Amino acid sequence: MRKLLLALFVLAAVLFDYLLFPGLGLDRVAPSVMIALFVSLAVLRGALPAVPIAAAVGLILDIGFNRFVGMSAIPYLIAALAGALFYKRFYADNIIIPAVTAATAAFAKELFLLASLLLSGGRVSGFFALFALHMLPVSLLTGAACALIHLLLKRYLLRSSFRLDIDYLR
Amino acid sequence: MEICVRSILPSAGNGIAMRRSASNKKTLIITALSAALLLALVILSAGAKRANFFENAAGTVLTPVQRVASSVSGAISAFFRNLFNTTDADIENARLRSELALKDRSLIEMDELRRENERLRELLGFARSAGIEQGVTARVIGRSSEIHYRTFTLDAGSSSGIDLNMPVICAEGLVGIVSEVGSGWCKVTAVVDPTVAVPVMVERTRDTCMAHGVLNASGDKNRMELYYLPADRSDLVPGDVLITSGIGGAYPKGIRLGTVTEVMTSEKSSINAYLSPFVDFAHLEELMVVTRGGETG
Repeated sequence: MRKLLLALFVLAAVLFDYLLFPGLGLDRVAPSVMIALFVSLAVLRGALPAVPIAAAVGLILDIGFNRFVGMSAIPYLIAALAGALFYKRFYADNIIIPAVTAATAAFAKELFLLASLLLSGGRVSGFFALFALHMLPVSLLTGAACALIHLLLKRYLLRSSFRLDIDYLR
Repeated sequence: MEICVRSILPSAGNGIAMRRSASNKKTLIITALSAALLLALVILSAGAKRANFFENAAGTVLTPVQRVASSVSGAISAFFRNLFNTTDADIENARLRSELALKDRSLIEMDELRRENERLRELLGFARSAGIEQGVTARVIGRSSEIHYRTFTLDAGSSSGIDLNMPVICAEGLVGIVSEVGSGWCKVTAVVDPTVAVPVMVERTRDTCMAHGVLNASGDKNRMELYYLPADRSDLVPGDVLITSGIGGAYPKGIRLGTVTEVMTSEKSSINAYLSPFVDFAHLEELMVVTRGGETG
């Protein structure tokens, strides 16, 4: 049941990021729902399910939609890893930690894409405008999206809401 | 009972620490290996290329899924667009459309087919006027989600005769170039992509120059920059039409690209002018990959 729910969450995130937001012309300020999802998943369930899922989904999406392989997979993987750093270190009710992590991961993704673009000879007009009108709103909205997703995910996927898992004491 | 718990907890704590340490090491190793593998893939997949076996297989499986998803997302986008239409005319239009849909669904389908037919006729007419002898029409089934790169996925590939670096057009003008090809799908890099440069000429004056895509977060996201015009370019005016020059052989000569929107008068600026493409990249549906023909410079 959990796996099915997780698959549905991933599908919904793909629908938002790759079909709905570009279709509505919102790609300049749209949050990265995938990053929000993987950060939340990693905070709740740790690196083991989150990192491989993030890398695999990223690779598939790169083949289907993106310019080069790794364009999504690397940022998703890093986002999942960043989320996993906080696994069982904070109470699951805390939505600030995943939100801030997701916002930071989204900003890192923007920097990664910008660096790859500049390295491949791409032209960029107005770095400040890019920062203020694209990178910052995308990061903040991704953080907000992560807070919402985290509220939903923890309801369905969380094993334990205690910082010190009782299983370790058995 | 309290004493008992106290005696257990320190050893349990050590156990937790050891397990966490081992788990962290394992996670780090897995992540480092994954990152290294991904980086290798990035380097290998950079630039125009034919898809390898794994990419081809994944792309072939994904193509029908993308086709269905593209139709679904189109319907969802239309729903949201209608939802935010608030003027009287829009509301009236929506009501009439709804009534029409209720009365006769098949009429709508016929209308859609008629429109598609019109678009294809326009595309064919444009291709003929540009001297293109042979092309493959394909449907857009996916687009890159990032603004940094402007890539489209089409539902036709090498099995239909499409190859790397073939130009892609629509009825409005030049769309881009094939940058990756699989057996049943291909990826097109749009001319507005920040890494793409197109040799063009001013239709009126016949001056040759270079149009370059650019990433800009403000204003028109499809805006392109114009470089390398002759030093005396005082007669370039907003509204001038730019067509492909055919120089370099990548794009056939005479395909419309866009119009000049702003001429830079400052000598310090390396940019000569800004142009707006004819093609509406947000609403591309059917495209033609030029497989043969077209005059080159």
